[in-house]
Parts: sequence; C-alpha cells; structure tokens
Amino acid sequence: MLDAATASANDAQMLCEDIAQQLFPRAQRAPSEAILASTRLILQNLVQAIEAKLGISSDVATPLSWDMLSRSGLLREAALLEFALARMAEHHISQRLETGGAAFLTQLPNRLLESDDPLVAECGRKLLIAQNAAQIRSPESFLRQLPADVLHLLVWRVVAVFQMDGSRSAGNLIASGNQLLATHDEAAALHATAAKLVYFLPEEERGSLLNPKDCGLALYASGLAHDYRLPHDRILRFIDEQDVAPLLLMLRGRGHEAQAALAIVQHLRGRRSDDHLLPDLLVQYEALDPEAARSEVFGWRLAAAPVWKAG
Amino acid sequence: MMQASPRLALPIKCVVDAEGKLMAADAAVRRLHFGNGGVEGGTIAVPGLLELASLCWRTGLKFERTVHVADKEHDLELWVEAEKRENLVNLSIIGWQERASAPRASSPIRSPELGITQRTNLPVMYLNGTGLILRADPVLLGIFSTDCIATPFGQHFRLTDETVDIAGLLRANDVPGRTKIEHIGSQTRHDVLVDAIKSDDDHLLGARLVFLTDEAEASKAEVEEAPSPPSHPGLGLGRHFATAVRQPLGRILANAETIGSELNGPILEQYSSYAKDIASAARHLAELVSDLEDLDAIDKPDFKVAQEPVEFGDIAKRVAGLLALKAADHQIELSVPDPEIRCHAMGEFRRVLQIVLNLVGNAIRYSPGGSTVTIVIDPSDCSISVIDQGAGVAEEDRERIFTKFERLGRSGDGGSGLGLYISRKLARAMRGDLTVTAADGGGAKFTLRLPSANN
Repeated sequence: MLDAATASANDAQMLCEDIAQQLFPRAQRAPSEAILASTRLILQNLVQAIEAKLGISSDVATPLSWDMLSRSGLLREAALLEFALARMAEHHISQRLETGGAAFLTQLPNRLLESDDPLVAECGRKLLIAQNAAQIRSPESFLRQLPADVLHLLVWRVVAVFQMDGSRSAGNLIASGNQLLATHDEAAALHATAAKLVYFLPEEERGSLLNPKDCGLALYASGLAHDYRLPHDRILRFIDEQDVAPLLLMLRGRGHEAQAALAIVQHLRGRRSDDHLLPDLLVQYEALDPEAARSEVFGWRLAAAPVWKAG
Repeated sequence: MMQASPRLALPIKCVVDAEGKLMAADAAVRRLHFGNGGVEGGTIAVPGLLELASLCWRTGLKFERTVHVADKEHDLELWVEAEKRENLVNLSIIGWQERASAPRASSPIRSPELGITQRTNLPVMYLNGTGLILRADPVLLGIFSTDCIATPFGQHFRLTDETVDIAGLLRANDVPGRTKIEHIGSQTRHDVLVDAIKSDDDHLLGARLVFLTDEAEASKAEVEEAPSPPSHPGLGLGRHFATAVRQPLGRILANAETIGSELNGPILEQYSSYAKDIASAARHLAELVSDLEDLDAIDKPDFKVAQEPVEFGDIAKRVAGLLALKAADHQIELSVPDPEIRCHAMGEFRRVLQIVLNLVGNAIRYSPGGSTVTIVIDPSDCSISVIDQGAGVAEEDRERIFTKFERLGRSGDGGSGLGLYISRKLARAMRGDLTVTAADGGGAKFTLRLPSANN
C-alpha cells in the first residue's frame, strides 16, 4: 500500500513531463516509430552488455534494470541518445556504401598500413580493427564504441538499480563496475581511432579526407568533425538526415564546387525520395559564399555541446 | 589550414590537482596558462585542459582526446592524453596544431574501378595486395576475432598442403579458385573461393575470400575424420560455436521482427504473418543454441558453479515477473508464494533463476488454459516447487524425463528435450537436486532442493 501510493504520487509528476513532451515537442520533426524502436533497442543492448559485465544474467531480451532505468529518467541523457541515433545513421550509411564492392581496398586506411611513420601505421591498423569490430552490432560491440565518460555514467546507474534492489552484494557490484571501467579502452573505439588518425595524418594524405570514396566513412566523418570542431556522431547524423541542407552547407564551407558536392552527397546518401529538390538546392549552393557557410557551420558547435542532465 | 606535422618529439606535460590547480607544467603550458590570465598555483586557465582534467579526475578513467585552445594569434588543437594517478591528473600533450579558419580547396579524387562488385550472403574476408586481412564479415570475426585484422593472412591461415603462402600467391598474381585453408589457431578447415580484385589497368589490389563452409560443418567433418574420441564428454562444439551461430540468428530475428512489426511501413497481412513465423523459428533456434551451449559447458569435468546466498522468494518474484506475459498468453494464472516467506539457499543466482524459469516455462507450456501454475517455497526443506494442473508425469517416466533429449513422445511444441537435463545437472552441481512427483489433485510437482544458507 505504501509503495503503491508513493509510486502513484511520483507518477503524477512524471505524467506532467510526458504530456509536456508530447504536446510541445521542440524538434521540428516527430521521431518515427522505426527511430524510436531502434533507439530503444540500442540502449537496451548497452544496458544488457553492462549487466552481463556485472555478472547479472538474464534469460529475456529486456535487461533486468531496464524498467527502473527508463521509468526513473536515468536514460534521458542527450549524449546517450545521440550515441544511439549516430549508430543508426552509421549503420544506414555503411549499408549503402557496402553495395559499392571492395572500394576500401584502395582507401586511405589500407594505404596507411605501410606508412613510414609508425604512429600513423599503428593508427591505420587500429582503425581497421575498430571498423571491423563496429560492424558486428552486438551489445558488446556497442559498449566498446561508448565514450568513456558516457560509459562511466551508465555503469553506475545500472549498479545503483541493483543496489537498490538489494538482491546482490553491493561490494561485488562495485568491484565488477570498476573492473568494467578499468578494461574499457575508449581509444579503441571507431570514432576515437579515426579522430587520432585524422589528427596525425601526414600533409600529403590530407587531400584524401575530402572525398569519402577515397578515405571511407569513418575518416570522412572525422575529417569533417575536425574541420568544424563538431562531434563525430553529429556529423554521421547530418550525413544520414532526410534534410540534405546541413551536409551541403558543410561541403560548401570546404569549398567544393556544386558537381563535386553532388557526387559526394549521392555517394553517401544514395537515392532519396526528395532527390528532385537537389537541382534547386544546388543553384542556391553555388550562390552561397563558402566563408559564410563555414562560419554558419561553426555556429553549430554550441548546439552540439553535450548536455548532462545529471551526475 | 594546418601545420605539416602536429606530432611533438617529446610530450608536453602538466599536472593538475583535484580542484583544477596547476601543480607543475612544462614551459608551453605555462605560457598558455599565464597568457590566459592564470596565476602561479591557481586553477589552470586553459578551459579545454581544465575540462579534460576534471573529467579524468571525476571518473578515474584514461582519456585521449583533442582539446581546442584559443591562443593569441591562432587557435590551437592539441592531442592530449589524461590519466589519474593518486590524487593528481597527469596531462601529456603529444600533438600540437595551429588552426586557421580558411577551408581547404576541393580536389576530387577518382577511385579506381574494382574487379568484384557482386554480393554474396556467404561470409567474406578481404585481403589487401600484400596479404594483410583488411575486413571480415561479423560471423568470421566471431570465429577468428578482430585480432586478425591488419595482420598477415599467413599468420592465421595456411593452405592445407602447406606448400604455398597465400600472400605469395597474391604477389605473384596467381590466385587459385576454390581451395581449402586451415585456421592455425583452431585447426579448423574451411573451403574458400578466392577472387582476385584488380584495378582497370589489371593491377592486383587484393583478394576476396568467400567462406563456403562454416566452422560448425568443419568441426563435424573433423569429428568424423578424427580417430580418437574427444578429451571431455561435452559436445565439442568449439568455444566460438554459439557466438558464430547467434550472430546470423540474431540478424534473422531482428529483421523478421522489424518486418513483422511493420516498423518501416505497412505490408501485406500474410507477409507480416510469415515474418512472425520466421521470428518465432529463429527464437526457438536461439533457445536451442543456448541449451546446446549450456549442455557443452555442464558436461565438462571442470564445470563449476558459484556458491552465494540465494533467496527463493526473490527468485519466484522475478520468474513470475518475467513469465507473466507468457502465462497471460496461455490464459494461465501464476500463483507466487507469500512474500513474507523467506528461504535462503546456497547456489549460483543466475543458475537458480535459469532452473526455475525452465520449470515455470514448461508448466505454462504444457498446462491447459484456465489452470493455475503455483510456485511454492518450503523453508523447512530449503526447496522451491513448481506445481501445475496438467497431465502430470507417469511414475515410470519420472527419472527418464531428466535424460538428454527426452521429450516423452511430445514434438512440435518448441521444446528441445534439454531443459530438464540441464536443470538437474545444474542443481546437482550446486549440491542440490531436482525431482518430480505427482501434485495433489493431478498435475506435476517439480522440486528444486539446495543446501540451506543457514547451515
């Protein structure tokens, strides 16, 4: 009775928040059912992988802590949701690029394996390993891609759920949580290996970063992220967005001519239902001053800064 | 836009304490610190470095990230490694770039046309022109792991006649068609189709290896060929079997569920129904794989379980929560023990949960609609029982039902005949037992007894 009354009282506040969110959405587009389902799936995968590392096994698809995490709002972190949305975008783009055969054989990461600079060759090797690991799309693989600070946040929230639950030894949970964090290597994640390679790339190879056909998706996104100081994951989302305008603006800021930009857009995005709008957009594109486009994109940095709701 | 080489011959170092105070720093960091208005022994006046140090101190994790710094004439982009040692954060700057705002000019680069464009559903591995493994499908990574990436193919595989190295073949531009290779680590053999990938000017770019047989088949072939029995009584499925099978199954399940739930748009009703059938079959296969994996593990002589206090009431509550929907689907009422009844046993939590889930799952599957499945705890006996109102188990079948693959004549209900065998093995590994008797008023009563935690 006590528990039920407290739960119901708390629910009254949560209901206000849920209604506000549905009545007054801030994004111009409503998320589709497919996006919601995929986001939930990726987050569940992450929680499931953490539970497994904490030694908590479950015979059902939904992680044991899912209900409490989702109801208490502990999963409403922008950084976590951005991670899930970016993995979806990455998957969509990669699937489209996969149909192009074995193009990666001639791409930059392969060439760099034989670089005279051991740091660059090592970065190339790590990037290839990360690329292969990322395509597995298992709970474990998603976990490996998480930035260390996001993982840190998530791990202790999952631990807290089981501590409150009281069914497991708090000492064991904390030890397993620490062990998981100690063995997590953020530098091995795809976005991190790509960022490091872009940073240390020799000058003579930098031209390759301007064409995704020549450098592959991970380095292309990291190159854009480096140029505009935006997060790698946000770039992936811009590339996969239904609205092509953010990508076009980034390309204009890099000084691409209209036809070169069109080739990149078509390579990365494939055929889209609104392709008939592209000719008009390209006329506007040519009229746009690259410097103005560049400074506009730089302004997106503030909106892209991660916002933590709590701890 | 950037300097030719951002890499520093020697890292630039600084040390920051828990409050962000700069405790020690090389000259370059001191210049930035004082240039930004910092004072001796004060908080580090480089916001990016302060933020990274604070993150590192708070989480205790190691970070390797870029940090942007506004300097007098240029923006700087630094590659910084951060590590917490005792109560201080050590920052090492290994890359230092000056950044200007002018964009680079475009110079589109042509990618050479490749010889192979066709796709296949069989697992594929790609080698570059020097024989390094560049890419492998997830199912192959499940078997050979990502450690093989960017390493020489010849380090992991050999041709079965052991006379030639595949990298040598590639260099000589003399690629065979179908051939047998052997994975050196696991000694599994694979039939592969080797395609050369060439550029327009006939230059060899690499090779594509299509794996025509998987490890499971190869293992089977090996068992057939092997003159001696396996060293342990397990199934000998290989440690990568479940991983390798689960991945394609997971893909089938996810895609079938996506299609069946019409997440990407409406489809014809019968197609949705087919997709749900596929998902159901994949789920059944996934359960079977889990059973086989368990079977493989528990039949090994070195199989061990943890001994920790387990509370049967908690187990019952969790099982009821997990199977409530399934019970409702079958119109079966699940009756759980009084929450006041507590019974602490010794065993491995997840294994006890697995056993009781199996018992209640079976009871739901084989009980008539409208009946009740009851979970009962007996602290005096340190046991938990699952009682159903089904047909019961005949006395002569009460031992047979715990044998491997025993279905008591049933088929087509999604069971594998392994659940009870595994459950009893697990119970006995925890120094307890699992038995079946007749329930009062008909039906079956399965009882799991474990050593009491109070002893």
